[in-house]
Amino acid sequence: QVEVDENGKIVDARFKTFGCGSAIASSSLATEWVKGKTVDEALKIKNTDIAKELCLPPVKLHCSMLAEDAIKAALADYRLKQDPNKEEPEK
Amino acid sequence: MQAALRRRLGGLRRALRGPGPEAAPRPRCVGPGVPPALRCWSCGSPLRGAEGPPHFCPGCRALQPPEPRPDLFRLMECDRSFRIDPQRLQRRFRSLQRAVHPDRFGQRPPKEQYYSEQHSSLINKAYQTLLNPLSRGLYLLELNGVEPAQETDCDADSVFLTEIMEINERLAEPKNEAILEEIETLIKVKQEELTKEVTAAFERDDLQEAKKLLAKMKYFANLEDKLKNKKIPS
Repeated sequence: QVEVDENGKIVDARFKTFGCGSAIASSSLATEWVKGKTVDEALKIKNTDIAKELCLPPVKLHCSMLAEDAIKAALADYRLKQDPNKEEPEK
Repeated sequence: MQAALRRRLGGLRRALRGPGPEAAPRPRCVGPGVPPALRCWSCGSPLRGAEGPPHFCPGCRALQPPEPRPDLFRLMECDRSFRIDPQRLQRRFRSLQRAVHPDRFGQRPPKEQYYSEQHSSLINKAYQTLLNPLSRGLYLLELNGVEPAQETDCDADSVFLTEIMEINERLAEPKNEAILEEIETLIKVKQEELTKEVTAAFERDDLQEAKKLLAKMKYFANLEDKLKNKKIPS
């Protein structure tokens, strides 16, 4: 979940993850990173950055992908709510 | 004296032996990687072709080592099928353990005690694998050369994942006996449903469908574990 102010800046973010430690850590880090960023900046976060920061082993790389997808999904949802006339593809 | 001994031994070995080589063609991926020893480690007598462990030397009755990668179905005298008879499985388990359990080898040489431990442990593993539907299904997939679903597979349907997420969320709530009971029942019902579907899939040899269903079963098995942990008083 993200909370965005009138300037398009993310002021708060929350996550809920059920899964392994790597998945939880990736989501948690993603949440920390998006805070204070604009929506466009946040969309630039890549799973590889998350994986590198956490030193994820290769077998857990897909967990960071989950976090990147979550950011994009939350922001896509935010954008959809901003402009209800725009067509958004279903994830 | 020798004849009577041999007769008793023969009877025991017949009881322990699995179905003969004509029962099912050997699959590619399971089978002894190393040929079993051809002579008894203790007395040197030649051993007849290893058919279904465990076996005892015909000459000195010493317990022989188990084969390196046995077929668990064959070991437990079950058809290689998802459908099993749990009673029969249990009877076979008990009879095998009666023959090889380390408790019965306390006076034997260390090497034989070691083989006894190996056999007993293998039989435990076989029993547990075949008893539980999820592990049985996954083992069947493995025998057929089908990889179980990996964590990176992304084709799980979102309706199902949402359902799992909801149960997870309820489990994350503060402990409430009534809710836990409810969730436990729900999980059991789902597991029974899935087991039926997996049975049907294996019956019509639809291994890909079985693989998908077993992946779903894994989610519920994880939920069951979480629930058990939740019930333990902290």
